[in-house]
Amino acid sequence: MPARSHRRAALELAAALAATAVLATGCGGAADEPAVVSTGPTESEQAAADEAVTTRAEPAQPTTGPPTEKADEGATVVDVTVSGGSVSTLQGRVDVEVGAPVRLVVTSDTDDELHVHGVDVEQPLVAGQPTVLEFVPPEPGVYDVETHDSHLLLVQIAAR
Amino acid sequence: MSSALLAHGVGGRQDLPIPFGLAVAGAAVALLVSFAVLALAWREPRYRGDPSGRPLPARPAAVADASWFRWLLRSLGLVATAYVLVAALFGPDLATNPTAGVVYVLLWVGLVPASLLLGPLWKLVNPLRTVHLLACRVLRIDPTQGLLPFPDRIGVWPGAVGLFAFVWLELVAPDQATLPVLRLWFAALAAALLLGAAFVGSRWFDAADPFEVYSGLVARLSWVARRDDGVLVARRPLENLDSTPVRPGLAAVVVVLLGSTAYDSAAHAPWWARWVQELPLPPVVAGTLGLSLWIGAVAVTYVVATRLAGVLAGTPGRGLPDLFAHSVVPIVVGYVVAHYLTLLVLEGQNTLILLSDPLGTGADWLGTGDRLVDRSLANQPTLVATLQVAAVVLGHVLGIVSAHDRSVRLFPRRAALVGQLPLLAVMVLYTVGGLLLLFAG
Repeated sequence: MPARSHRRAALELAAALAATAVLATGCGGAADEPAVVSTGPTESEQAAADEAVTTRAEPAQPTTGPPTEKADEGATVVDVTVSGGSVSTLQGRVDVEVGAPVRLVVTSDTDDELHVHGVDVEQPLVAGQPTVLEFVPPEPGVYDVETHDSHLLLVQIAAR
Repeated sequence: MSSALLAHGVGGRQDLPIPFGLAVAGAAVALLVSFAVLALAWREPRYRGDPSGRPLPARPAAVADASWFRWLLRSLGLVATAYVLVAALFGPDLATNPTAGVVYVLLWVGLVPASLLLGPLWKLVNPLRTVHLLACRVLRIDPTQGLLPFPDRIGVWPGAVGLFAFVWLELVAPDQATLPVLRLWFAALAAALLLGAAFVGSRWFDAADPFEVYSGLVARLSWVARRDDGVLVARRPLENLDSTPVRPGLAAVVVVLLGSTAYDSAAHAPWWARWVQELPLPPVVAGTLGLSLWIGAVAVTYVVATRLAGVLAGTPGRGLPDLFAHSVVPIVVGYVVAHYLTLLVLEGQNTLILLSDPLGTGADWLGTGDRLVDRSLANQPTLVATLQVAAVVLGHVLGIVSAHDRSVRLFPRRAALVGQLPLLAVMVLYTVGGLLLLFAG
């Protein structure tokens, strides 16, 4: 009996090890050149995405404050429009850096409340008026930006 | 309110030490390799079910079964419940009220590690079971006897319904972290359980209490169990799992658990959220539909795979989904770790701090009120993401081992491997699908 149970233990272990080994092999493979190549584009893509967001949002800035305002520099600006219960956001998720400010510019066709899940900042939304909410993601993670009354997910801020 | 409760997701696909596609492919290959190893080296059933395990030493076993110890545990359950009820009934309905954290984090998530370590814990502390027992003592009736017979074919189906009701509350119900909603839901649960127990006796808790059913099932992956002859034994977890009593509705229970985890992942994916909120339906209806859809998808794939396994092996049967249901338990536990680890660690601490001031009066009854949440796990996205993938893959590998042993026991020898192919396919599907959902975005 002990022999049997040993063998069983050995087999289970073997199965688990096989699994780990395969994962580890994947790891090892990734540590070679291809990994550098494959992670490279991701980062540049992300930088490009960040840039795109900032550029896209540039026209929004004059409406929210004088363009000379220095404090806004470096903030990732995300524009969202809510109309008829539907949300216009270019991407579902915006990648940002931890500790870097994010500037949300939200225009809704109804009165509502804007809320950033995870940092718990709130701001009332007045129908038709662009509302600006700036926050800094304190730690890595995905921060859902949502409205309270209409229960809409506007955009996700992924901080890394 | 509800949003204040749930921690934001830590660890994304970019945080993995290897590219995400490689992790998913590696996970699938890991399953296939495990299956190949099992097929070659594990041709006889090795798990002996109920007779397995080594009896616990006499003294600890005697303490565990002692009447005073049982009453101590029941009293702990009653006192803890009464404490939380103070906050739930008399505390302010604010994010600083600990009730929602107790329900969704300490109870629902905490039940899993507690049951893995200590066995079917909820049954021992369940305050409703104790209330029923005390009422029976007062009325001088036998708590195990009810007014009506309780047919075996009902099995744990009521528990599957109860679990659906809970995951609906957690994932779909509007304002699910507010006190009126929580009070209403738990009042309904207490009524359903106490009334049912009055009619069919205390067996009703085993069959219908969602927390007992969940805790009892996860406890099958623990090291401790009670043999049918009443002896407490220490068992190897997978052998303990193999001795899970096969009851009608068992497959429904694991399908609800797995499907709701899938829905929870999907609901955080931007594409799903967008699709759902474009539907011309109220959020509750859309959410209920989405939850049912994911549970339905798991139900269909699981039932088709297990029934097809029987057909291919030449021994078809309607009971096969229940007979293989235990092998889904490690998968469920893997997803719970992957999904809720950071929630348990971060919000669990927060709840313990909030519990010290249940009425929101600035009191510090437990002495934990001035603690700060240690958020170091939140700043370890690579560690978290790696643990998530590892938990999912390990859960599925253990699931494959369990299903394999059951196959070689149930199916004729030559057909056992062919019969397992649909099971293998569905497990690879769950792994890949699960990882894609977990890291959606």
